[in-house]
Amino acid sequence: MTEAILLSDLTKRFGEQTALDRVSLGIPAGTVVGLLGPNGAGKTTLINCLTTLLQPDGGTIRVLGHDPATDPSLVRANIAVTGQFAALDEQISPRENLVFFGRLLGLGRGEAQQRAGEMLERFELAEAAYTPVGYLSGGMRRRLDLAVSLVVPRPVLVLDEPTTGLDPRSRKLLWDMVRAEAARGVAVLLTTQYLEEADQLADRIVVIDKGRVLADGSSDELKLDVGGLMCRLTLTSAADTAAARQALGDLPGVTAEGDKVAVPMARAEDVGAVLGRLAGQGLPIADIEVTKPTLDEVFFTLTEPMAKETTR
Amino acid sequence: MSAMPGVVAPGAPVSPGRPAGRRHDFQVLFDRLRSRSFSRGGLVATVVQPLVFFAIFYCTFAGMLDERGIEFGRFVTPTVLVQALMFVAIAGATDLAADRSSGVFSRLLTSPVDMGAMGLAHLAVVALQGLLSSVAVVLAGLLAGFRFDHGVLAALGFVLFAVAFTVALSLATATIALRLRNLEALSAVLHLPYLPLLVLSTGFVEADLFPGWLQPVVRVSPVSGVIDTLRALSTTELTWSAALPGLAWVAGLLALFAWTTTVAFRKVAIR
Amino acid sequence: MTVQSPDTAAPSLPPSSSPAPATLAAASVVIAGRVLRQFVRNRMMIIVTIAFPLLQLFMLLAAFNVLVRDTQGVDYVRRLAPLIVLTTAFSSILTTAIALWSDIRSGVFNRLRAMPLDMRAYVAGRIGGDFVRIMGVAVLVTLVAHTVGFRFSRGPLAALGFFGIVALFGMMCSALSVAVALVAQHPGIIVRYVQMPTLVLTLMSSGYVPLEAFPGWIRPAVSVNPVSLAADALTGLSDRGALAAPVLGTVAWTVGVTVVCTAVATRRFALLVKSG
Repeated sequence: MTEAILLSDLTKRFGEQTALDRVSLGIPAGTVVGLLGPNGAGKTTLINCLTTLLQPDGGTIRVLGHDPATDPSLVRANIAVTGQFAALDEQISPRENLVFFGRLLGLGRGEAQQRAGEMLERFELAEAAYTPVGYLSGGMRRRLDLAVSLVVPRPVLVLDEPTTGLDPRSRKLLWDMVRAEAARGVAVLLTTQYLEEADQLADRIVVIDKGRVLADGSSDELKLDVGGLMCRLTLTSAADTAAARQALGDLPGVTAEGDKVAVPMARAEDVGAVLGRLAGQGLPIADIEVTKPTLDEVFFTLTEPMAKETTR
Repeated sequence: MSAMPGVVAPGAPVSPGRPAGRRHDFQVLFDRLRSRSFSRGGLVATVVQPLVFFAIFYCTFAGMLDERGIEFGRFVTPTVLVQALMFVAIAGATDLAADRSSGVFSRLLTSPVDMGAMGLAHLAVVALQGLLSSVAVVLAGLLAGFRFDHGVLAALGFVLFAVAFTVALSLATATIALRLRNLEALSAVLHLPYLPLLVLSTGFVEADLFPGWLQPVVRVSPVSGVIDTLRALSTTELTWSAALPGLAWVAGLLALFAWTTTVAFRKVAIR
Repeated sequence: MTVQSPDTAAPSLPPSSSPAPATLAAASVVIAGRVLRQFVRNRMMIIVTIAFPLLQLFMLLAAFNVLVRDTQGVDYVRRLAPLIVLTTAFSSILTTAIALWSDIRSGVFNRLRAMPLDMRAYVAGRIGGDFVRIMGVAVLVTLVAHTVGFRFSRGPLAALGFFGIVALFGMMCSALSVAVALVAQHPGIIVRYVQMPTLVLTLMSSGYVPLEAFPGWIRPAVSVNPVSLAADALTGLSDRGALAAPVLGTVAWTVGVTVVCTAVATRRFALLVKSG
């Protein structure tokens, strides 16, 4: 069995509201999966179910083959979790926090001490090792929170919006760390609000909204699914925009903003047809670019129909 | 200690983990709470504060009680002790609430920690604090005329009973701390009842001095029962009729609140 | 010190494109209104500040009335009611200081600082809001105590003086809370350094128990305790007893504490502004 995490038909309801609707997802060892979705999509509910904090109403969860419903402590022994908010004992120092949680995960006293020292170094917290956590800055707490999660390496790592509020340096530290963990065979599930982060970090991206999986695949696959290629045109004058739209009127999904016009295309050769139409109307072009859609565009395209559905 | 997952070199593959077991978990959890309760702030709460109250009550009541022929040290020492134990229970619940709001509680719930060990460690530390407060108050009482009239066994019973009362109260406050999320509301709910419970008891004045309609309430109050048991085990006549109501109260409260705490904990832990 | 009701004096800003900054008085009233609104909306705070004094009044009366009457020959409610009024003011130190502290750290304070607003208005409003609350509870407690035997038996002028002393005491408490909030590093420190000393001062005063009931050696300390002085002044103004010494003593304490606290607060405030 290669899947470290296996969710099938996972369902969770809060009263009338369905937070998770038959979510299925597998994460093999050594893979980073990014969970994307707008606020309230069900990301945190999914994570809480996976980490034994919530009991699902339906479906199954397996973590290294263990079922949280019947073997919660075996599941807990194999997952490292960092929640959305730092979970630290504020009254004691970073070192004491690391030693405490390290010992709880089975380290002896001496080992825990040694390990705490290593983690403080690795997360650039050494100078604050003895300051009570209550006095630390937000970024330091966040890093310590991650350090505490990783103080004993476990085969599954779950991160709920780990880089929210981190400065670029700390974010890079975290990214490097996630890559290192994956490289040694850890299965990583991370939720994020930053599409760039998912693009950079995740081997696979899962988009969910309203508790349902909308897409599952690599960043490139998702981009291809959504629109293939984008032809981005910059007109020499914003006054021409309306005319350009007119000229491209019968092509699907054309968008315009200021002096910029974006045209989705199935194949790269289609660019000739686009340029021909504009030339036919005598509209000068300042710049042209053919690219894949950004993950932002994928995200909006995927989640927008759902948003409309609810506003109706 | 063969399969310790700690000393993995960076980059080495990670082996699956196993829970460390209840005894180990208890030890680690107990160590953390114990070191917190023996910190400076913790000792102020368990030792200094009761002594300050003892001195205050001595100054305010000794004169008046003396005029009625009651010896302060013998009469009020158990009352001050009960107050100190109430504070221990309140502080224990406040710590629990702090762990919940800081997220430590959730982290424990996602760690392979034995749930029973979590509860036991909490109660063990509370019992230790109760013991500490008892010793401090009894020593102060001895200076003010408090004595154990019935020998060593009764004195041990006195301390044991005090500790049992602390645990029973802490189970009650833990239930509240597990049910209430709002810290402000929690603080009010924890602090409001203690003063009426203490004052409307036989702790400071005999039941006869209360207005007639209140006397039955004062007589059956659990705090009166507990104080009377403590008195029976030390300075007053040691009879079953004096000691039994308090013992029954503590046994009943222990059973009741052990159950409510378990239910409340389950609700928080498994949703 | 006069306090306007926040409802009647809502400032009407002129509808010009750049309105003139609110005057000190108007801004103070707005801030005071916010303090009172926060109080009224918080059910827990209402219970604590209104129910707790009344609970204390009846409870202590029930427990100690006979003991105090028999041994000291005093009608206990006449001593207890004034003291409960004072403890309400005293306990407001803690809540106000914590509220101020969170304002200062939460950014509300910085937002106000960035507005065209005299910062003295903030402090005045904060204190004014509390003041209204303290006086309200004082009136309530005396009214309720009236039903169980508390009386103003020295005329309307003395009754007015009674509330004057409460006001003085309240002012002293407000000054303390502002200073404490500016000095404390975190709210835990406020609780630690306010709760116990105020409790000790209250219990070790001639309020709960007459001075004569204390052991001889501690009586000098008990009699200069600000709570004792204020309680004696209140008893003197409502019932009987010496007046001049306790009233002067209360005034002296209020002036002294307010001066020291203002100095400390001004200093800390300047420091806070400098360090951002």
